[in-house]
Amino acid sequence: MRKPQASVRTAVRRAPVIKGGVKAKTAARRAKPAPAAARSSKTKGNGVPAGRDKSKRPASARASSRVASRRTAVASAADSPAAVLEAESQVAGSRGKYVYCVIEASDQLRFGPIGIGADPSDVYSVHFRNLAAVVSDAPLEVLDSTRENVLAHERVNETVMREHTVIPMSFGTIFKTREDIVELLRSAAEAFGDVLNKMQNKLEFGLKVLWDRDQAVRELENEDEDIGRLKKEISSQKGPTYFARMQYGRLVDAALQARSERYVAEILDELRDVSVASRVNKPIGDKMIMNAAFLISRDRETAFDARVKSIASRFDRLTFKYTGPWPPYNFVNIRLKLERA
Amino acid sequence: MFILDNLLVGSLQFVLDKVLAAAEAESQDDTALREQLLEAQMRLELGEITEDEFVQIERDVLERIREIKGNQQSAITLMSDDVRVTGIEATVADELFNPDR
Repeated sequence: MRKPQASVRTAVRRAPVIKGGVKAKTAARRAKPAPAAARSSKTKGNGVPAGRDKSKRPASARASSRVASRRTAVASAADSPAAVLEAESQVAGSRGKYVYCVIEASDQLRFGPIGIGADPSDVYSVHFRNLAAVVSDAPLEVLDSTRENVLAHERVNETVMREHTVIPMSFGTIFKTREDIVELLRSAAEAFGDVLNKMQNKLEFGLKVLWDRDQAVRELENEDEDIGRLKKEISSQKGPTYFARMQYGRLVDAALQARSERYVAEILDELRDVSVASRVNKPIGDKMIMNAAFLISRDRETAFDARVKSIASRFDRLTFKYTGPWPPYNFVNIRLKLERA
Repeated sequence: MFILDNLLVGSLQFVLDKVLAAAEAESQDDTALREQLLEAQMRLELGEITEDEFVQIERDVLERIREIKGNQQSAITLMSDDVRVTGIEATVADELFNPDR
């Protein structure tokens, strides 16, 4: 079995600011992937997987000389809606290109054998003009979203981020061939260029806030007159307490909701002038009251840091989980509209 | 911690036309399961479940995701005579711009 505990801990690149009884963890550097130098020759970085899945890869340039394969492609497109997101059931062991991110770069880049998969393959760039996709060869089989795989994806983006502004791809984006990636870069070149420009010197940080719900309820019982009175009524009353309980539950739920909303509003408000943008995502589980991402200018990073720490010490009954820097996952959204010709 | 979040957000989406949308809808159907994975990871971090329990949950959830998605990895291809890119829309932060292509 894998040992994901250690790798998850190392994912927190910045020591999280922790309050309220959850033990602090140090930001250990992630372990280096085992170098697999002997294997790096297995896949040629710049090559199209030779002789594989030709019948399923109807590149127009190739199609004229391969009428038979072209007909196959047309037929399969007509039969099944999966012409674009195509499953590779027929071609066992064929390889696709896993894409980590898009950057600006004109020259061929190599990042070493740090790719995704049990057997880390070479990570390299595929270019169209001054744009590059950072990719590695990956088998066209199910890529489970295990912590190990997600970490491998992040590790590559972290490496690339040290020198480049990146547009991160979501986990599990695999293209069939190198040509497909070039086509992506070509058709979206203007959008990529624009986004890269806007993301220059920007970093994403994550901030999640958790509370102890039971403690919050106890606070309410002490602070809110109605809730406190009902609580006493329920615990002292000998007869049936059904209606008192129901009313108590309703009041508590509403008060908790209002209180958590107030916390979130205050925290967001305090961080507004040190961040470029923020995005609030759905909380995970019932302890989390805020799950937000912030886009920060590199030159405001220290200020943002300090602000998070000061908020965390002020709201000392809340637990803050602070992570980053990440590539701007939450702040870039590129949609490609695809249609049948 | 919480690194799996990035499973749920991503910078590149492919919007398919109606005929192609069915395939996509099917492959997008695992959001709830992915959220379960996130929650399990959070509970592990908070010490509410053990590593072993997490591994068990992870195995079960991934198994169910695999059932939904089928046993094949979807690979994206743009190099087809039948499919072409008809539009690009890029959003950065709260700003919207359309290269209109």
